[in-house]
Amino acid sequence: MALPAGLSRKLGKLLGPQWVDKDPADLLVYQSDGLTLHAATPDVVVYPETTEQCARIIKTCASYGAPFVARGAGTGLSGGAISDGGVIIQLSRMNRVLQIDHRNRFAIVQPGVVNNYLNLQVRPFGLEFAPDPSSQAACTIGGNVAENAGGPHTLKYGVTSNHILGQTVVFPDGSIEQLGGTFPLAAGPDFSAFLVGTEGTIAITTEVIVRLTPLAPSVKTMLATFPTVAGATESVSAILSAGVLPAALELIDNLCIQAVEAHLKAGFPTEAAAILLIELDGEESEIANESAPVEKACRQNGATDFRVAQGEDERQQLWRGRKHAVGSLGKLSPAFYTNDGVVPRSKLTTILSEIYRIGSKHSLRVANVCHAGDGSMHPLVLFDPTTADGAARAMECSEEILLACLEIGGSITGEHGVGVEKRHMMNRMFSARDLEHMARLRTAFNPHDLLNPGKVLPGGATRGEVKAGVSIPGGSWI
Amino acid sequence: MKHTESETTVDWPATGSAIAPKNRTEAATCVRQASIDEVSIGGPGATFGWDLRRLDAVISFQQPDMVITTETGITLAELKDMVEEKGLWLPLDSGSSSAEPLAELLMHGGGISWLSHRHGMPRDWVTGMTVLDDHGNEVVNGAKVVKNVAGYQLTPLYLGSHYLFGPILEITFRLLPLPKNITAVRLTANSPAPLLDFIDQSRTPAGLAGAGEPWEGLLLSKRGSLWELQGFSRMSEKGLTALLPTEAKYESVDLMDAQAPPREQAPGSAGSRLTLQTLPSQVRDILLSPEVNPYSIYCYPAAGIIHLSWEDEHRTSEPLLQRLSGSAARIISRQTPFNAEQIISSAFPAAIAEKVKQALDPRGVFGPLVVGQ
Ligand SMILES: Cc1cc2nc3c(=O)[nH]c(=O)nc-3n(C[C@H](O)[C@H](O)[C@H](O)COP(=O)(O)OP(=O)(O)OC[C@H]3O[C@@H](n4cnc5c(N)ncnc54)[C@H](O)[C@@H]3O)c2cc1C
Repeated sequence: MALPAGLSRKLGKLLGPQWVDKDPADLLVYQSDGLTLHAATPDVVVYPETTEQCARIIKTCASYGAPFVARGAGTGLSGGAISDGGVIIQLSRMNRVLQIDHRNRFAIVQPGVVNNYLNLQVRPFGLEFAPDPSSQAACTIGGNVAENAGGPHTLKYGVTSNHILGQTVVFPDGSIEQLGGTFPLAAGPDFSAFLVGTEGTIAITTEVIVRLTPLAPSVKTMLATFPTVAGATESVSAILSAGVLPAALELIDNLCIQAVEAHLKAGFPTEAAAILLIELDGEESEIANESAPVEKACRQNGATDFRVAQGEDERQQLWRGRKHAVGSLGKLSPAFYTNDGVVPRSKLTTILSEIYRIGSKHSLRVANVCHAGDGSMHPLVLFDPTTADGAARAMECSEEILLACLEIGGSITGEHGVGVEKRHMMNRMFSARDLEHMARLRTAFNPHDLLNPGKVLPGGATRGEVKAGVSIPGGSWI
Repeated sequence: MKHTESETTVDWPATGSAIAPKNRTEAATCVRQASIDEVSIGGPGATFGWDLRRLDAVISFQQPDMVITTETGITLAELKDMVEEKGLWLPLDSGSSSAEPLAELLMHGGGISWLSHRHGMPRDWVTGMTVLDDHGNEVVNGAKVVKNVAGYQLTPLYLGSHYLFGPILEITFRLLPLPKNITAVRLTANSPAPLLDFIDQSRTPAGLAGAGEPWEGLLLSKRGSLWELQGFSRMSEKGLTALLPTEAKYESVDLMDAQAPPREQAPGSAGSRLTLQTLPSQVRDILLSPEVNPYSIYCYPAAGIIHLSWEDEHRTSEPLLQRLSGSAARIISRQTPFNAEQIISSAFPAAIAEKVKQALDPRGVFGPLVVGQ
């Protein structure tokens, strides 16, 4: 769709011409998010600095009938932050931490604040923003809110929705609303909480009140080595059944271990079929009480080695290995495709063997990192993008894995959201009626489907169709 | 309910009474019939209320999955008993309303408790639900797994909605392992100050390492002139004892090991009652102010919730309200927790409430939208 004549000039008047970018070379950056298999090019990118500017941009776009999409760091993995024509509202200039109230454990931030940056600001107060997506060095709080991001530590500390107290938002008609507040609890219907995870399709967040969580006084990180994947998955259930709630309980399989060790030498045992990275936190006596049952559960399920990180350096090294596991796969394959299915925890063993089976059926290697304690997985399908059907086969394989998750009572996405990527699978998980119920809310607030069109819900939204499978130079994570 | 060959009709009870379907099909039929007969069921101002007590089935509960799905007629206490028996824990408490069906608790915004500063509200534990829409169809939202971001999560709109958008028939909660090795604490004093000092000292991060959140459950109450702190923690008895300010004056100090988390024993709400919400840092000022002296107090200090009650019908809360005006406190309920006039909290401005109502129940089958402060 061509940009309506006069729109970009109007936007330039609003923001100053330097904050309106139409240069085709620059627009390439916005062609995809972290999932480069889906691509679409916007007509223009704008860089607002305030809520009021966002509101004026939106009103202007709406008056021209032009679609608009909010974008944070573009690390999303479901094609949520792309726009086929129209306007991308890039929120990176709205990157200030506005207030930190350590006594009442909240902070007020702009949406473009990077997750790690916020943590750097609040750590001196003994606090943190608990959601810790592996992309936290780059992703923004606005993106975390829109995607309801999680991470390794959400097993104990919950996902983003558990840590948002309020928001300032701009609706697709340009109206500004303040939702929630700084009090720790909200009874009654909570529209701010509803917006978390709506993938920027109902409103654009321009300020966020986040809950801050006290850092644990002590942490103990352990690495258990297993000769079989089933040994690792069974240990997960055994640890939780022993009444222990680790702060994190991550599974990494052999292929990923190989990649990590080739890339950055985290000290993972390359002979292992799988490892569990287990972190306990709390008061020292609490950790002391919990360590023994954890080791016992692992040993009883066949762990051949059980190692405790000695000191902060070794702990950081192990975590570096985990957080870079996905990126490290570039060492094994020029391209890979990741999804994020979820299964009931007791079905981890079943789904992992199913994933390997599906991979071999498609003659593709699949590496796995899992937030095992949550039953949440990242199967990474390795493929060769230079072959004609490489990407298509990877997508097919990945889709089959997600269907297998559904088959055993799971979900098609635990972290990355639906975006454009899994939109066509929503009706495999939900009935038409369930989807219509969600659509009613979308229509109420985004009646002309101008805000982030064509995302999340299948059908209906015709604007913003993206082209799957277009040829894009391989990124480190496709 | 009457069944004829071709249709089922509903014999409506007296206006103002509750519809108590014996199963989900019957609940759905009532909604369908309501729209035909132009009556409404559910929200404040509706022709009838809901009584979902008979919908009390456990739909699924696999201990290793750490989720439970039940119908909403069972009580929170029953649900907690069930999961605790299997070594799991739902960190929600309902204080005085533990005998209510879940539906009532959830729909009326209940579940603020001594656990809330640490574990949040029911919405923090719900992963999925089945509701009845305005056509009497069952609609599924969310999932029965711990983590899921597929589609919009409607739970935060339904919880606390007073049935305005329809009833929740079925709900899935994620669970935690039941904490073992906990320390239960009971301290009494003649003034709140030493108890508040202890709370501050235990919760304020000391240095960069932080102190964690030591309290799983925490409440402060006053009956007559005696103040009492009750709490429980994963910290050891020794660790907690070390945090007790030695110079403070207590009437009694009681720390004991416990094998399972105790449940909150909130007093019933006889007489008048006012619930304030404030920032945790303001609680001390409010509790120490002379204006609150005449009241019985029941407070979740770390969550900034203060319940004041009084039985003397001539007492007015004016001096207290004057004292609070201009401070960061607001009244969130009078008389009963989260009553109808207060349901639309600031998280849900009226214009938005109207849009949501229009989207989910345009014909008002679940009653009119009541917005008021
Ligand atoms: C290597 C890697 C690892 C990752 N690991 C994790 C992980 O562990 N857990 C996890 O959950 N995710 C993970 N992700 C996915 C991604 O990082 C998260 O979804 C993140 O929250 C996206 O933030 P962003 O700022 O990059 O958002 P973007 O990608 O820019 O946008 C994502 C979506 O949010 C919308 N949006 C952005 N800002 C706003 C706003 N202010 N208001 C309204 N809508 C907005 C966009 O329109 C889009 O739909 C990973 C991604 C990568 C590349």
